[in-house]
Order: sequence, then structure tokens, then C-alpha cells
Amino acid sequence: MNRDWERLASPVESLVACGPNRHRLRWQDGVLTAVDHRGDPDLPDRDGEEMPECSAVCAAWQRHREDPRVLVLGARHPGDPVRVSDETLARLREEPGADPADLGLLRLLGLDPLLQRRLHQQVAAHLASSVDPSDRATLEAATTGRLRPVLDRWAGRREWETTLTATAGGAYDPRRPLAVGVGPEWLAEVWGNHLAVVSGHLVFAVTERDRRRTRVTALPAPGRPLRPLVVKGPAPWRALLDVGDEP
Amino acid sequence: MDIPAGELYLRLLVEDALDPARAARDPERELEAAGEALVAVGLVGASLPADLLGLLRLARALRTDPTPWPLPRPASPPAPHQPRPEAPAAPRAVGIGPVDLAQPGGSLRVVSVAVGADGATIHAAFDADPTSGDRSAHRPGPLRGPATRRSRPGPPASSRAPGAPQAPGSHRRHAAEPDSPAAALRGLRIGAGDAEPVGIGPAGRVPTAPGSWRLAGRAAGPLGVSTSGADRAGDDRGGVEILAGGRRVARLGLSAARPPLSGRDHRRSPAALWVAGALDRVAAGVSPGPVGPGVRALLSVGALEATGSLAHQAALLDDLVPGGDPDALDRRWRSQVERRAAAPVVRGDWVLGAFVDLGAETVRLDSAHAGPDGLWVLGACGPSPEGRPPVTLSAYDDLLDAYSLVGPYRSLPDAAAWRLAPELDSRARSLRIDVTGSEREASVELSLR
Repeated sequence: MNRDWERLASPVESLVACGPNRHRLRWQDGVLTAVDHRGDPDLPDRDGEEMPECSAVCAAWQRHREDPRVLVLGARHPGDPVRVSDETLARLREEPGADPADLGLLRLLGLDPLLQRRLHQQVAAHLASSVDPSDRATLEAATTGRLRPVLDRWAGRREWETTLTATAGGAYDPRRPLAVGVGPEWLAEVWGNHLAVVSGHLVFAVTERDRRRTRVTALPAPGRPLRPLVVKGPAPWRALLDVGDEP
Repeated sequence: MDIPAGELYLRLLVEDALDPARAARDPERELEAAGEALVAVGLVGASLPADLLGLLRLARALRTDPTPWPLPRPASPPAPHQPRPEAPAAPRAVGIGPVDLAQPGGSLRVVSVAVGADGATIHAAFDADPTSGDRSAHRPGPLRGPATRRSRPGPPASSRAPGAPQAPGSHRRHAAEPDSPAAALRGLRIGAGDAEPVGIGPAGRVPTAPGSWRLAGRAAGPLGVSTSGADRAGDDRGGVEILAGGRRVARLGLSAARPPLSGRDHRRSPAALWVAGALDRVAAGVSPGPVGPGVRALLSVGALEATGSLAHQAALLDDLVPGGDPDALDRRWRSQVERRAAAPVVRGDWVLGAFVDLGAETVRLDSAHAGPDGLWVLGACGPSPEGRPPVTLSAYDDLLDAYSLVGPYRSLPDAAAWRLAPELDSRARSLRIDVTGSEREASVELSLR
């Protein structure tokens, strides 16, 4: 699996209710850790119920980090109101016959949005490296569901024609301004890292990766040609200068 | 890597459904209908639409405040077990009733018996009697008493050719002991010639109205009757006997099977076949539709020609039913729309005795029966190849009115029944039944005189 996207992904830390306490979960370099349970024994490879809540979340993460349902159920944009309350989880725990796997998935959908985004990136990166045509269909739909709100926000609501291209760089023909093709890595690397729109530019792909200074190909406006751009990070990213102007 | 177009289409529908500005009016119905079309033409697996529908419901539930309880489950429930139909293997001779058997729980009417070297099937109808002390067969709703189910006069069964109506005096009423629809059939035995009569083995039933069922049962063993030149009702040893309680209650003359029909090749695509069948079902009022989501799915994945008349008719029909200008519709759909409200009364029983070879599928049409619950064609139909639309039956009468034969129900592996929709026009004197498979089609003529 291509893990280039992790090089641009900042660590994320969040608090979860764990018994009477609030414990820290930390995602870094592709791994979610229950910071306050570091000394605990190894987690079983299942969505366990007989363990502290934040350890159970880590177990669920392990189990669902390649689960395409995450991308179907999860939020498409910051305004997409996916909510799984503690009350909902508590009721599901008490429901006779409730599937622990379902509970684990819902636990993840109730996490801090930034942590959820990292999970989306992991699943998307897995799908992008898969040779299963069904995985590719899942990834194209998930990419469309996240790319269209970005396009609407960038240039207003239009009848966009979005596609997933075979090549990483995507494709854009200024003569067809509403047809936007992005590569399989776009969701994990661009959308997931808050790079979709930088300083008014729609970012198609990342060409060089550094959390503080990276290069992308981007579109300044519909109907214009793609151009290379240097952007300064971490998020919120901003355009530094065109590559041609770089000293 | 080729992305599966059907699966991508359905997944994009889910994305549309979760975008308030792009969602269809009824996104779940849209997804179901598109999934049905794509499954029928083999572009997606049978379980994918249900799985995606479950995920869509869960995703929508997670976006409401407060979250509804219990949450919809994403996994599709296991499909109920359906007996795998067996492909009919050979023509059968047909003995036609009706034979009415009064019994404590209701009335059993044997409508026909189809006999061949590959087995025998008995087709029957059961009406529960609301005044009977036996309540096991009763269901709520208006019930018809046995007295209302009388056959009309006609020529003798033994002299009928295929397609001829019921004989006079062949309406028989006998006492029998069964106490439920299924038991009613299992209490019978059928025999032929000097051979030992056999019981009824696997039997099934399908409700057709409150308190009424269509029944089919397979003989537990061979009867040893030839399907050709079998019409020997004048001979006391000929035909097929029905026994109840150990004694003979009726003997039906056997009409010889027609020579097998080989279908002619057609060039319609699976998608076109599916759309035509869906239009039939909507126009006949047996499906609420709409056809549009399925047609859009098939157009989108390139399985259906956008400029074809079927796509145009589907759009018209979705908008025009009910109401609108029927003149804009193809006559096949228009006539059904116009006549939907009318219910002319036709009664009769006819032998079909047809065996149709469609290459990938085989179909047997044993007999046709028109009664208070409409006109039914009884026979058998094997499974269609994976990813192909099921065999479609449609019909025209001699007045050029079009019909759809809806079904089949499969109550047991080698029996099927199709109901004609809308009701048969009482002025019609013949019916041409078109049987369309995935590769070939054939027509079976039925004289209603």
C-alpha cells in the first residue's frame, strides 16, 4: 500500500470517554495509540467489549482500517453531520445480539472529525492500491462524494463530471471545464490532508511531499490549464509561489 | 483496470442520496429499482443492491438528529429459501377438469393433471369455507363458498383438442377428508391404466386471494402414460384417474401433447427484455413502478440504447400512469392502461399441452383456466441462466389487445403459474401467448371458443 499520504498528515490527538476518565487517543504515521493504556497487554484482534473504551476504539480501528463501509457512512465534508452519540453507543451495547463489529464501526464514526479523516485516508489508500475492480468502484464513488462539495465550494454548484483517472496526476482539459478527473490517491493525499483547495486553487495531485513546503498541480479557475504550485504547510495550507517563480 | 459500471452506478446513487441538493425524491426506491434492473441483466451481483440500501439507510440515520433507534442494519438479511425450479424436460399430455371435491375445510378443485415420462403434476385451487368448523385454512377477508365455483357446460373432455374448452357433465363433486389446502392435495392419488396409483409427493401452495390458494403437487412416482395419442377417455382403461379415500372420484381424458416448439432467435438485449417486462408489469397494474430508475441505470452503463423506443416509452409511462394522454403510448401499454378499470367476466378451462424450447430455457404450458380470480396459465418454467432476465410471457388476443402474464409463482420445483393481466376481454376468441427467453422466443396459440 502506498503510504506517501502519511508524509503530509499531521499527528492528531483527541480525548475519548473511558470509564470515568477522559483518555487520549493519538494517531501518528498510520498508527492509532491509546496513549493512557500503553502498558496494557496486546489487544485482541476483534471489536472487544471486555476492555477499556479507548483500547476498544484502537481495536476497532485495526479491524476497520480497510473497511470500505467507512467511506460510505462517514462524513463527506466538514458540514456533513454524522453523529454517533455516547447514548447511541450505550444503547447498542445493551441490545441483545448486537454485532460487536457494528458497534466497533459506529465507535469510529463517533470519533473526533480529524481522527475520522485519518481513518478515511487509510481506507482510501488501501482501496487505491487494490487490484479488485469492486474496490475501484467504491473508491471512485467515495471520491466523487467528496470532490463534488469541494468543486461546489470552489466554483459554485455546477453539473460537474467527476471521474477517477488511472494515473496519479489526474486529468483536466480546459475545453471541458466541468470535467474533472483526479487520481486514485486524491482522496487520501489531497482531500484527507486538507489540500483540496489552497489559496483559491483546486489541487489535483501532490508531486513532492513535505509537511512544511510541498508541490502540487492545481487549477486556478475552471477552464484554465493545470499548473504546478508550491504550497506552505501544515494545514491550513497556502500557496507560496508558482514553481516557475521559485528561486 | 475496468471499473464495473453497474456497481459504480449504484454507488454513485448512494452518493447522490446523501447530498441534499442532488438526492432523488425517493432515493431508496431509486436505488432499489436501479439495482433490480442491473441485477436482471447480470451487471451486478444479486446481493449488492440490498447491501448498499442497508448502508444508505444507516448513513441517512446517522445524519438525523436525534439518531433513530434501532439503527438500520447495513447487512442484507438472508434471502428466503426458494425451491430451485427444474427445467421442464419433455412435453406432457394433459387431463383437464375441473373436478370439485367438497371437504370439511373448504372446496378443492382439481383443474388439470399433466402427465409425461418425466413425471406428473396436479394443479388445483382451494377455497376455504368460512362456515366450516375447520378453521385451519381460513384467512381474514371475503370468502367465496364452493357453490360459486361451478364450471360452465362444454364438449366432453375426452374429445377435446388442445385449446378446447371444458366438457359438459365433467363437473364432479365428491366427498373427501382433507383438512387444509396442502393436506387436501396430499390426500389424493392419481393413477393410469393398470398401474398402481401413486400419491402426491412434494406439494406447494400460493395464496391468490383471502381464503383462496393455487396448489400444485408432484406425483410421487411415474404413471407410465404415453404423451402421444393418449386421448382414450372413451376407453374405460384410458386417461388418468383421481382417487380420494381409496376410491376413484374422477377420470380425466388425456389430450395428446403438442409437438415441441423450438423458439426462433431474437436479437433483443437482456436490458431490452427487462425493460419490456417491467413496462408490461407497470401497465398491467401489477407493479407500482417506476420503470425510469432502472432504465436510467441501464442507459448509464451502456446496456440500453438511448434512442430506442423502450427508453422513450418508459419515460412516457412513468409520467402518464395514472392519467395523461394514452395516445402517446405504444399500443401494447396503452391498451392495458385503457382497459385497466374494466373487468369483463370470462370463464373456461382449456388444454395447452405445449412444450417450448428456448435454447437457454425450456417452458411447459399445460393448461389455462379462467375463473373469478382471473385467467391463469399453469405449467412449468426452468431457471434462466445467471444474470439473464427471467422468461417473459405476454399475450395478444384476436382484438389486438395486449396482456402480460405475471409470475410465475414457483410453489414447487416443477410447477409454475402465470396470471393474465389485465382481465381477459370477454369478446376475445383466441389468445396468442408469446414466450420470450434470453435468446429465443416462440408463440403458443390458444383458442378460447
